[in-house]
Amino acid sequence: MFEVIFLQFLNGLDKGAAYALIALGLTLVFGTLGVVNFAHGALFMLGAFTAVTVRLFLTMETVTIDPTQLSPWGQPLEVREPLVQAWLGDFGGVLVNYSVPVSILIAIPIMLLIGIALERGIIKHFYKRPHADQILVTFGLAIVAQEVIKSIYGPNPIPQPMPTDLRGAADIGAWLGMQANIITYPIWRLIYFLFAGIVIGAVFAFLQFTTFGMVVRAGMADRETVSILGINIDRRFTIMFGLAAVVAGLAGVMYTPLLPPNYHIGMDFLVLSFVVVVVGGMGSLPGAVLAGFLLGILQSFASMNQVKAIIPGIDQIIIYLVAVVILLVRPRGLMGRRGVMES
Amino acid sequence: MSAIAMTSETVVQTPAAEVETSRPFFSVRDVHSYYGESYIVQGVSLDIRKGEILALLGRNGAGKSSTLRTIARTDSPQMRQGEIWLDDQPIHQMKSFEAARAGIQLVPEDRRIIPGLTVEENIALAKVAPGHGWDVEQIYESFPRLAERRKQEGVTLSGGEQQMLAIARALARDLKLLLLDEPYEGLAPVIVHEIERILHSIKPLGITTIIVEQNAVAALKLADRAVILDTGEVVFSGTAKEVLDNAELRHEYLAI
Amino acid sequence: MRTPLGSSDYSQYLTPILNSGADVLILNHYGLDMVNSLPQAVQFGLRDREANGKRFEIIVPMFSELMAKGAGEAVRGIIGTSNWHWNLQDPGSVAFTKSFGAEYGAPPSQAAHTCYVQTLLYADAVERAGTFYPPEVIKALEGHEFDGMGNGKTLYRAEDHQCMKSVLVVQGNSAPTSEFDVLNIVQEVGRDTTTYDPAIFGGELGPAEPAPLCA
Repeated sequence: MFEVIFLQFLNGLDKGAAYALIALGLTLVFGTLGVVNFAHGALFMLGAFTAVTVRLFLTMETVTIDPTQLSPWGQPLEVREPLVQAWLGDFGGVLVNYSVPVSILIAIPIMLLIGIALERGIIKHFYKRPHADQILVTFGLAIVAQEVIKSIYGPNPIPQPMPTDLRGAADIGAWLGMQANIITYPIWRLIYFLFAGIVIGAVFAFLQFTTFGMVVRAGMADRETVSILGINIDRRFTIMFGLAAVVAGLAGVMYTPLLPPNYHIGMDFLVLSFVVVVVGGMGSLPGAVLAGFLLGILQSFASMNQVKAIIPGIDQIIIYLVAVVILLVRPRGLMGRRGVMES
Repeated sequence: MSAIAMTSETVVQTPAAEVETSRPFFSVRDVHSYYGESYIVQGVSLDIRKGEILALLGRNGAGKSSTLRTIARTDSPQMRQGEIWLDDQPIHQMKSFEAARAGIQLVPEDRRIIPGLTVEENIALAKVAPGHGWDVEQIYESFPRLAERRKQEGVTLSGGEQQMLAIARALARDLKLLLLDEPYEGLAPVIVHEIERILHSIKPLGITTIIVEQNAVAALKLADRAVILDTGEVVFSGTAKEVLDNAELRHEYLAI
Repeated sequence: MRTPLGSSDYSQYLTPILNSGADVLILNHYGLDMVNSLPQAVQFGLRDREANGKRFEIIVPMFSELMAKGAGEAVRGIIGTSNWHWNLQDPGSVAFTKSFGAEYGAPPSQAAHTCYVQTLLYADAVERAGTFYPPEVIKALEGHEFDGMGNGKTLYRAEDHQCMKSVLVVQGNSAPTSEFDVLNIVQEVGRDTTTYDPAIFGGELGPAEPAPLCA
């Protein structure tokens, strides 16, 4: 029974890390710009499709038609030669194999640019408008992004293989000195968990230990006072929107081997990440992370047959049930501050 | 009443005549500001010479704080008309961060110490944008209480200490015009004396200052000149001594 | 293990299977759910696991080429069943594959085969019934036996309206030569084996008359 609970707990941490990472980006935007960003899921999706695109480029092929051979359905056979391997030899093969990690490096500048362009181009015009308008415009952006991706890549999921060395499951039980094959967990999920931890840690360290971060924290707490001290806080907040887009995009890149991405991938996370943010407390970064892990773990345990035997269907409602209970007991969420979205 | 009107006319005319030759160091020309649709500052004009301390007085809701905030170019109230010039720079065309870089420092009502930041960080924040004034050592020397509490979160300080921190933050910037909004508000009398002592101690530095204060007597002790606002308009402009000596004026507009 | 449909991450339902003592995971998902859950099951090591001294198996009861494509390399070696495969060598299937390939540049999926065959069947049934009225068309199809184009003699059983035909056992191709070469036929299981007693699932068929249209 111990191994069952341990595995479920591990799975909860793994899910929680994914939730926390998405909720973190959402909270960065809300805490700085005061905008409820429904396009956040679309940024996750765009990150995932950065990985798809990088892989497309890396696996480009030269197609020659061989009329002497016929395919089983009677067409001339297409002969395909991988291009990157032809140019770069073994290194090209390594690049293809590690296309997802390679995509991270490429996604950082791309997502930063997308984020900054969105904020400067569209979202900044909505700061003084009601929250309902902001929700409509960001939701609209999400739909546009989805349809653009759908028109380019089609509606079907496009699998992204993980590097061959990182496939399969790691025997965690054996590492901990237990019997082999009792506690095993997919290596990529462990990497995702570590990655999420590193990104979350890096965001917190950036906010806590750099001058830029201090200014942003100050601006989140009191935008006007920061301005009267001569700081152009709007510009910093624009960069924070770019950073939130990077966080969302990287979460998307790293998720592609776990879930073949299609244009809709971000929406699956959007509702959930809003629940996480609300439970954690609107605008609270530690709250978002805490709530992400809490809900991930609860959802994992609620999915066990033993639990479902007591309360059938609990696995599908647990997150919303917990959200309702927490909001009844603590209307501002776990770590919400007074005065956020209240006036 | 007629005496008041006469005084205000004669005094207002003198700097107005000077404008012909040279612009005053700081001048506000016919400024109108609104909170949403409510009309708060209704055509205020004032001039200050370099190094002068001006007390901006008036009853609650007379538009004193709104005038200061308009000068500091905060988002609210919204300025819809008028000009503000500091040392030949058109402040009225600036946003608040640009006004701050031009040398305007507002020490806001309620101090506005940033939550989540230590004393040290609150001061460091003032040194992020270009245009620095006092360095940190000088600040801690002048405010030893802040030096002792430098690692403490700013908002956990006492009211008086928070006021010191807010003033210190302004001094950390390259200052041309200091705007003090209710520096004595909500403080115990002992603390008021302490803040008064600090303000008097920086008076010899010759920082051009506008002080808005409910405690008119304390403000007038500090100030060279006084302007009285009523329902968003200037109703008196003269020396601090004139206000202190004119019981009728004080009774009419300041209720003291 | 019951799971909700439409989820993106099924990991919390896969972890309890790891130490459950089961020999086989029958992954009864279809479409996007299978595309999501099969790679996740493989990542959890279920494809390469041993249970009770035997190889653990993942079985997909409804395998389709589109799903196999979406699940990528996770389908390799996975066993499942399918209605039809473009590599069947009966004349009907060969002709269908050829003309479909000429039109779309890809071999037809089992779903394409189903759509094609059923459209012909419906047209035939309407012709025989002489009307589009559903209860009559139903009667024309009940107990109707025909050639299933690769599925051998096929029967729409009158008792429970189930389609009795041969079924293919397929396996995810371990070394595909092209993006269409994802499934291999392992075995054709004849109609004699797949036919079961209609009483097992039983139940009423319900009225044949269409429900009155709501005003």
